[in-house]
Amino acid sequence: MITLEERLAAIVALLPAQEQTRLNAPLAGDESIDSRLVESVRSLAKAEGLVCMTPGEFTREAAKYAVQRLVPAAKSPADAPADENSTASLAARLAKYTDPRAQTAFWRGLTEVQRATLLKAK
Amino acid sequence: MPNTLTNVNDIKVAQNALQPWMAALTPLRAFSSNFSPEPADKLDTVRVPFVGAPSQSSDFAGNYTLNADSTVTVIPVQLNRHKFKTVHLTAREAASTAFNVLDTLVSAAVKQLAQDVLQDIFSAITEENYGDPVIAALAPAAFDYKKLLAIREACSTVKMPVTDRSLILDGAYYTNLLGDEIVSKSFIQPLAQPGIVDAQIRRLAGFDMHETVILPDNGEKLVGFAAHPSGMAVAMRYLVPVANYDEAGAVTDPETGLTFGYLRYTEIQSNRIFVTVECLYGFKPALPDAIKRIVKP
Repeated sequence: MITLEERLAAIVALLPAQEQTRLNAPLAGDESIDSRLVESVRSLAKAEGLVCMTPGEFTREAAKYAVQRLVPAAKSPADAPADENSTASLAARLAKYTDPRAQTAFWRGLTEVQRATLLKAK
Repeated sequence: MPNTLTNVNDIKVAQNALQPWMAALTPLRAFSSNFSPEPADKLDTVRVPFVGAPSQSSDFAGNYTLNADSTVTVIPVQLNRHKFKTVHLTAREAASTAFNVLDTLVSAAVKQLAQDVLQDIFSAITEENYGDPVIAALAPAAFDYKKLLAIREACSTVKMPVTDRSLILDGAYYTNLLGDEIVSKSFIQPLAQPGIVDAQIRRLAGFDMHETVILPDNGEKLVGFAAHPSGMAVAMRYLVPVANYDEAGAVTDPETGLTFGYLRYTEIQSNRIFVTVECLYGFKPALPDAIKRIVKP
């Protein structure tokens, strides 16, 4: 049966030189052969071009993604045409729909703020 | 004549009601359909494209057009069903509460209307239209994954196409399936969430699964059925009102075409506001072997 040390050695041998140095170093106080093996597999996956993140890396990526998603909503007044969100403009756009399908699609595309603007104008 | 709502408040109320309408009518995916907000009158006929098994392929003999299917098969379905539900509130009620009562009332009415429409369509799932039950009558506690496989086998025996199969099942039978040893343990993350937390089985043994608590037993102890779209044709359209209303229009989902009509009018004498939601539709049983009934003892 292959020991964990043998498995580790086999995987480390496949890694780039700088990774081999790091993963061949003596175990730190908070490391075990298990955690070193997991780390080496993760490094191998990265070296092969796969996305393989630690929990910390995943959290940072998720936060970055969330910020990217929020950006369009935050920038509306400056980047949108001047009167795109004005009551008159929204009401005019809503009124021009004579097809129920288009009306539903338009309503679904409105933000909560735009809907509130329209309703307040009534 | 435009058939859209124009008042923003009505649009909001109607659009909020569209979600429960679509959710309640999800099992209609099991059938061939032609849904649209196009205006139609009672007893008009709609041609429903028929999703069945294609004819056999041909050996090439110098011309690709030989043995072509001449037309897309359609089933004429008469729009002979018209259901409606009316809710009302007094002008005082409307004015004295910050909570949008009309919103809640209309959403509940639309959900009930959808259930009534669905129940009416399910009333055609009878022995006369679709023959004997697919498996022997069984109680909810006896319905498990192996019984589902028996249903699948029976569907294949009658050459029901493997794709687009659905299983509409009474809540008690569906619940027993949720607790089945194989089904409950076959969920894997993140699929475990719908089954364990939300009691949802999306697909099983090649069937799109739909739970229902409104399946009529049709006097034949019906508790569910396996279906291919070629088993039933359903049509839905918008009935344009003849009278003048404060507001009237079709409310539709652009993707599925599922549509209901929305009417608002005021009774001046009693100072009450009425909203009626309505549905014009029709249905017609098609291939007998494309729907297989499940019954209880």
